[in-house]
Amino acid sequence: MKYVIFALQSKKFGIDIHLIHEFSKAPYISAVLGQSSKVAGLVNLRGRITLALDLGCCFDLAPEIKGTKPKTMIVLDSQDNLSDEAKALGVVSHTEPLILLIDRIISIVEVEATDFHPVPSQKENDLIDGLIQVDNELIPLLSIPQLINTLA
Amino acid sequence: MSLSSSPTVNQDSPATKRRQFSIFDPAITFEHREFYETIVNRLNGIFPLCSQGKSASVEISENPTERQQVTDLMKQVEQFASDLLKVNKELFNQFYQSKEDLHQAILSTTAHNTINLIDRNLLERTCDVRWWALELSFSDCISFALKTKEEASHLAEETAKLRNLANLSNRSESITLQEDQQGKGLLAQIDELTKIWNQPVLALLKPEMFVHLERLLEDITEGSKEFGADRLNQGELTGFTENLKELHLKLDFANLRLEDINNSYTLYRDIVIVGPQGYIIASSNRTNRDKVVGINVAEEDWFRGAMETLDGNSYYTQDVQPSKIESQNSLVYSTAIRKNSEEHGDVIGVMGVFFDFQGEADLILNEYIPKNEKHQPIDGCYSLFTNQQGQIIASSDEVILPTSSFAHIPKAHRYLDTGENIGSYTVFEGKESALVSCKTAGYLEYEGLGWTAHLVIPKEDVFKSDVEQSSIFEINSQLLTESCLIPKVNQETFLKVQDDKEAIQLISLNGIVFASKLGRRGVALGPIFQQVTQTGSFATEKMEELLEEMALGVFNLYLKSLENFSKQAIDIIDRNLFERSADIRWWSTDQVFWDALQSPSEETAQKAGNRLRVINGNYTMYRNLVLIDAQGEFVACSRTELERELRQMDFADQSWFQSAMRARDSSQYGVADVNQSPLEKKKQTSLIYVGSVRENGTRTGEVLGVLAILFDWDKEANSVLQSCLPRTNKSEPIDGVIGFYTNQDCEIIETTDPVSFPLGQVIQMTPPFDGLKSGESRSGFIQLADRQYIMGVTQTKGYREYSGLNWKAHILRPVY
Repeated sequence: MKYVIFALQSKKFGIDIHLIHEFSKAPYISAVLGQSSKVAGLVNLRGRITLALDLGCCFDLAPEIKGTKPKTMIVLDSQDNLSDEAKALGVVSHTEPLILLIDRIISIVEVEATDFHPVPSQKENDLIDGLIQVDNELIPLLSIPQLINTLA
Repeated sequence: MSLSSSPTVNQDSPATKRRQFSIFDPAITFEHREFYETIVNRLNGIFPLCSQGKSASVEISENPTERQQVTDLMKQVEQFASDLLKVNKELFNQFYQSKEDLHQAILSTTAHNTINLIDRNLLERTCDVRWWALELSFSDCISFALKTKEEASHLAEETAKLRNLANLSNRSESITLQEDQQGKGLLAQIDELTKIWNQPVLALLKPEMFVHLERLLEDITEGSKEFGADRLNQGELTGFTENLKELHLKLDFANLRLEDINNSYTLYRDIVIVGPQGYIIASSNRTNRDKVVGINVAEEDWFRGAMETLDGNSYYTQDVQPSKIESQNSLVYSTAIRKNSEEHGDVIGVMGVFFDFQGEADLILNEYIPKNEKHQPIDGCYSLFTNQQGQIIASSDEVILPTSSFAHIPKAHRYLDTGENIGSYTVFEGKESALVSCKTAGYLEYEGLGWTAHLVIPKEDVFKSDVEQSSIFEINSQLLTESCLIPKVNQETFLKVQDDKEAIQLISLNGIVFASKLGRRGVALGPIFQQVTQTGSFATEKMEELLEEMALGVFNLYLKSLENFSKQAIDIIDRNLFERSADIRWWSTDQVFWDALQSPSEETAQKAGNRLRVINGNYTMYRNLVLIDAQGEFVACSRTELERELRQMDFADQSWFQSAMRARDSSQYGVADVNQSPLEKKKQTSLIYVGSVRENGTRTGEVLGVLAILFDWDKEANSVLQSCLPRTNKSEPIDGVIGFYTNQDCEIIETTDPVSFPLGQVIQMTPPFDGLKSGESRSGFIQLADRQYIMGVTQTKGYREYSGLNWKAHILRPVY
């Protein structure tokens, strides 16, 4: 199984490649009044208005240099647009396409089933639904449904 | 201004086209050409990969949309790779242009500094000669010599008549053999006397001759009685010999005063007093005096020029050229000595001061020539001064560039306008070199002598790689993109490379995502995109490496230039303070001051006050000059309005007063380092030089009191610091640059930024700035007042016999 490893500042996270529609440089994002700080704003994505989340804010990670904004975005497919293979594997996305603003993509890695680990109970985080081991490093995996839940 | 193959090109002109460095330019190093080739090869490797990707799309899918998606991705990759190839070319151009610009700026500043240091020095020399020529002992001595000479002329006429009589008597038959012999003896004696009367310089008559002269006069008087002639008036003769003795005393005193001046101001090889006929009558150079006194310089420019000066404020400068006075070429400042030392009095003689130009030029040229790690001038580097005609007047290498010869430099460098500077490449002494020239604009009211400073550095040194240079800092992307020290154009390139690198990475990643979504069908695409990512990363990382090298080079050059500026700042202040230490030693010997202390009265004190005011009027770099007696009580000062306040003070317990009272002889002086002083209650900082005033003005006489001179420290030091701040090509100080001096306790004693770096603040000299040795310069990063700077620091090494006060000059430039 392939996972995309990305970075929020110095912290690494993983996300299932099946969720990815594309990677792109973060465009100008217009803020939406009355939304939580996790919502960076709305992006016109080839005619479709899409919600962009500032993932750093979701994890309470303030930028290292004040005022700097995430430079890269990950566009996620909506649940309907997931491939059959993804659906068969039980990959869950949001009902709408979603944009995650991150600092940078690190790599795409292939992991074996044995590389998956649960999150220890004392380290439980609403946004994480497991860990993968990559080169002796445990990287948390982002859970999209849980991420969406925190916005409610 | 930038260096150009054509010397007339000047960057300041908007029409100027900047030199472009193609990768085939001979200036580009072999390593960089190889670097360039590697990047080009790797980027070119992306195109076949993209073609492979486009072909693979046909193989893996029959779906036109999917095929198009792959083809689009590949086209985007090709586009970015093409962009990077263009950036790569431009990158080397920018790299070499920035190196050239910075080197040019440093060389140009250095050339300017060398000529500026000489001009600052020479301005002081013009003050010296005018001031010294006003000394009464010199005009008195010349007047007396003239009077004595007139007497001698009269006596010569009388002697001629006597000789005629003696001659006639000699021929008379009545004279016996004995008388004949006596007669011949008398004639010989008269001839000898005639020679003495006609002596052009009575100063040449040594005191040991006086006894002989008296005997001669007695013999002639006695002998002439034989033929009944009493032609020589005995009283007149006695009066003359007495005057001759007095003249010698006056000459001795004049010589002593000249020696005193020279002991105080060691910049001169000789200072001479010349009579109106051009004969030298006194000299400061004790060892050479016998050879110099009596030389006639009536034909020399400096003498004639001085004789024609209009008043006591005028002077004449003779550019470096031969003189009878000394074996090497002489730079002479001269002015007229006027009757009774009055500013508009009749011209009765000349004072000529022979500046040690060669010694001074050697100091400056060798100080500011680029040096290697062993502190030796870099091979092929030369520094020289030429005069209006293009003749070398001083050079850092007398063998290759002997004085009086013409340097082989392009015409455009020889005929510059006042203050103009120029840079070009030329073959100099067989080596392709960068040559910068800067023509003097003078300094303040001193217009200079039209000299030009030239600096030559081999071209290979301008463009040598900075990679091997040890660096005390790491170049990171934040520094590259945000530091105000990195040229904007380089920052833009860096950002462009970063953008393209990210774009290629994202495209490749999208390709990998796309391939993985195709499942098994996409397997063939995966390695292609992986390869694109790797190649793109390799090429862009190489470019980043080059940009980092460029930034490192820029930083190194900035650091070097800050070192240069700090060196200049400490050098100028040391030279200035050397002059102050010379002033105090000389003024302390002035008769008016020891008169006021030796015979204290309202009248003598008033005279002393007047004298101090005249001095202060000429030497405006002082805030006040104060004469204090041996008990520490005020006697006179130049600032009348402060008199009442100072009169109520007792200075006996002041350390500077005590140090001057303890001075062994008049060559010693004391100094109170920059601090608060009761002499200037309203000033935050004062710098006071003190000298001992001695009985009869003698060198080792009893100390009668102290002369204190208050240097206008904050104004003068601030103006020096301002002049040593790095500037834009519009001559404005660069934003945020700061200069300050610190004392031996690392406290700021003068600053250009009293808000961020106030007086009294202690600057901790942590590595790499700690443990500076005398005259040593260092540079590096420093965090001060929550801001990061690059800083150049130089520790004083003094100047000539002035050892300095252990200060440092700091020039800072913010990094962000």
